[in-house]
Amino acid sequence: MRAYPTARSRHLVLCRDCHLVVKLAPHLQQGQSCCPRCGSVLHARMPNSIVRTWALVITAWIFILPANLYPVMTVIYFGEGEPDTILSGVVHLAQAGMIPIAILVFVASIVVPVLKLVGIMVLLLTVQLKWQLNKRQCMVLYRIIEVIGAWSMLDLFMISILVTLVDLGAVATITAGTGATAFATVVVLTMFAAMSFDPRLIWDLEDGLPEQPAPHTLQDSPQEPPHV
Amino acid sequence: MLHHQSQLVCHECDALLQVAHADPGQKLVCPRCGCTLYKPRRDSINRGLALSLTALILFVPANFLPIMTFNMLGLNNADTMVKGATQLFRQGYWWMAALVFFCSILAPLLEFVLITGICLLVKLNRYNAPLVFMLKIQSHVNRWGMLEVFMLGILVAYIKMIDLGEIQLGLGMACFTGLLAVTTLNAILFDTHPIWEKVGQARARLSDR
Repeated sequence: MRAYPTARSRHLVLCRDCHLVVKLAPHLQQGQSCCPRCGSVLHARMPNSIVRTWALVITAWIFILPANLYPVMTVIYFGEGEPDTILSGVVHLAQAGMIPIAILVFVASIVVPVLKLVGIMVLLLTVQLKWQLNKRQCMVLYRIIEVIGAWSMLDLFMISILVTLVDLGAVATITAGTGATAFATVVVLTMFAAMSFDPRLIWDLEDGLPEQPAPHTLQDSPQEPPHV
Repeated sequence: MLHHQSQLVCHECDALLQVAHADPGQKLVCPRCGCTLYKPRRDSINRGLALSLTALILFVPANFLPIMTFNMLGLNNADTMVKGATQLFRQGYWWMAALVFFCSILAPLLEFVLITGICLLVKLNRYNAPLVFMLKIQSHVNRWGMLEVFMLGILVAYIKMIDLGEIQLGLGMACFTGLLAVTTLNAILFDTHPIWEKVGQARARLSDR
């Protein structure tokens, strides 16, 4: 693979908010200067990205247990309640013959959160243990993790609709359960974990390779430091 | 120095690249990591304004009219988007209620208000601090709007309930479908890149003076 010069190696920083490329004054450390266009604090890499992401991932793993063990929803028919966990809800759907919907709920509520957490851990370990994985494939994994995150909310939205819809007093009511609270927490934590991971760290593993002048890239040109 | 950038930096892999021009319909792709760097859109401001105003108009009926009505043994109950969050809150699940409210109502609403405001300020040529503020909030809030997931939630709930009683889709569902279509179009067509360039030019003019 061809080596590319990185912005960081040329003391350039990309503003995360407005995507302006800013030349950092040599005496300023990262986090000490602001973007001249939008005023956001500039960082060459997200600060403490690895530690933050690990903290969120571990917390999410902890919350996954109550999210799957406690009932997310209880259907009360004529006074008799039947609590459903995420998994038993999927089983009931499958037993009722609604296989595609069962698969959909299973994927959104169980497969997606677990895959997301495992995927983020793979990316974290790749950076920390310097695994020699294909970096482009790591980016595909990263983008999948970013995109699928929101779909875990499916179960929560469905519960909120059912709870409103089936509110018929003594005949039938549906209430939410403790598991749903834990599950909501898992979804939020995994979304924050995906946001706090800095994908540029994966490409930093390539640094140290000899830099070749590439036709797509610019030569370093002298520039004034930004107005801060 | 601010208003003609000669370098481009990939936001996902930090590769330093030469600036290239892309026409609407084309896109710039990072040669190193393969991510889309920039995808210019034609007439983004007018379209953004039209779509976000449409969304704001559809927003009220989509949230307050019944999405579906459930009948069982003569009893019936309607579900609206707002009621979904308040019912959870009344049952004591405030954290879940807050999340559902934020992702299905507040974040989309905030985004439409912000895009309307951004487009209006750009049309009035006011590249000022409120515009910068709104652009920044908009870029953070848009990942939390999950109307498409909510639509799937409606469909799953509908299919789940279809055997238990009589269920009817309401006018709110039609408005919500429209809202979802407009949101999706807006996500595809709205382009903040040229606005940021103009903000940079306005700043540069100010500092030259």
